[in-house]
Amino acid sequence: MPAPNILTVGGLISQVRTLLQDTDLSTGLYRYSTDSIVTNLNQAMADLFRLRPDLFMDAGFAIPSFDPALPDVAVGIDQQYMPALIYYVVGLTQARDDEQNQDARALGFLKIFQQTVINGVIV
Amino acid sequence: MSTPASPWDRLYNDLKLQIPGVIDAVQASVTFSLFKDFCDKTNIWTEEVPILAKPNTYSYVLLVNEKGAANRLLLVYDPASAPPNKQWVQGNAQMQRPGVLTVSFPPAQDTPWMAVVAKTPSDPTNAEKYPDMHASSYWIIDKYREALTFGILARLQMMPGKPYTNAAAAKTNNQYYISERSKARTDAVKANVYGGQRWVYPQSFATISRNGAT
Repeated sequence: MPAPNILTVGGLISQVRTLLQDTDLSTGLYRYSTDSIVTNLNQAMADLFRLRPDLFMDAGFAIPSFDPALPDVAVGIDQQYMPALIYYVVGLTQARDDEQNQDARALGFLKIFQQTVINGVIV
Repeated sequence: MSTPASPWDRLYNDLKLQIPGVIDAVQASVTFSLFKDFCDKTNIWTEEVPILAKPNTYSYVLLVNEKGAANRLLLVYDPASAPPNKQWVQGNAQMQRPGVLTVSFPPAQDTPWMAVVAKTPSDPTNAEKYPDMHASSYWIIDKYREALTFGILARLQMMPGKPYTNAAAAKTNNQYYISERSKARTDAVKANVYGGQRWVYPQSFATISRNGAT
């Protein structure tokens, strides 16, 4: 099975699920729905635009909004910033999860996102 | 991310090595604006534009053929008076609107003139969003790559809230850029001749009238 292309919405969701340890579909459902992850991705794009509008220059400074039904759509962010975007979505998804009590891990991911896009380093 | 075509490839690579985190669109945009400043301040990118001067015609559109846009009028001379004695055909030739030559004294009969203009890059850019240039001008990018590198680094490092934001380095790089830009301007004035001058004699001491000659 080929590695998912993280430049697309579907590939990004796949990588997010890996980091969330939510790849088991044996029950027929994931723990985190695709809709909720895409909602978090859309919020991530808004936050990324606020911090780094230059990353949206190629898109005419428009913030894209993704549809869970269209997983093959390109995210449209420069490849080097895709890991940061994944960290944000993972962090936000975990922050919403009050059953797993993963607040520290969630904050860690959100902090990595901010440090990556603004400072360029992960410390 | 991909390296643009010549003549921008080496410059692109030099910058990528020093500015991690910058995206291609931003690098191309800053390169365009910096190169525009470089050309404006140095008059390094020139083109000779032929004109057919006509009686009773005071205004001529200068059509550059080798890309870019006319930015400054350097000289209007009569090709019939061969180099090195290129002189203004007359005084008060102007280009108040870039690309439009105006003269005060049209010739008495159709006369070919040559306008020398300094250019700056203009839209449209090339396919990679870098300044579009004719191959005959690629030498500018090659010769002044250091200057352009310093200038682009400075502009990128001056941007707030980026992984490459660095006010101290920006200041230093800007100083290097201005220094290198000054050298380029001198090169342009002296036509790359060591200790030389491109004109024959200072115009203030000219013995030939610049008024109304055809």
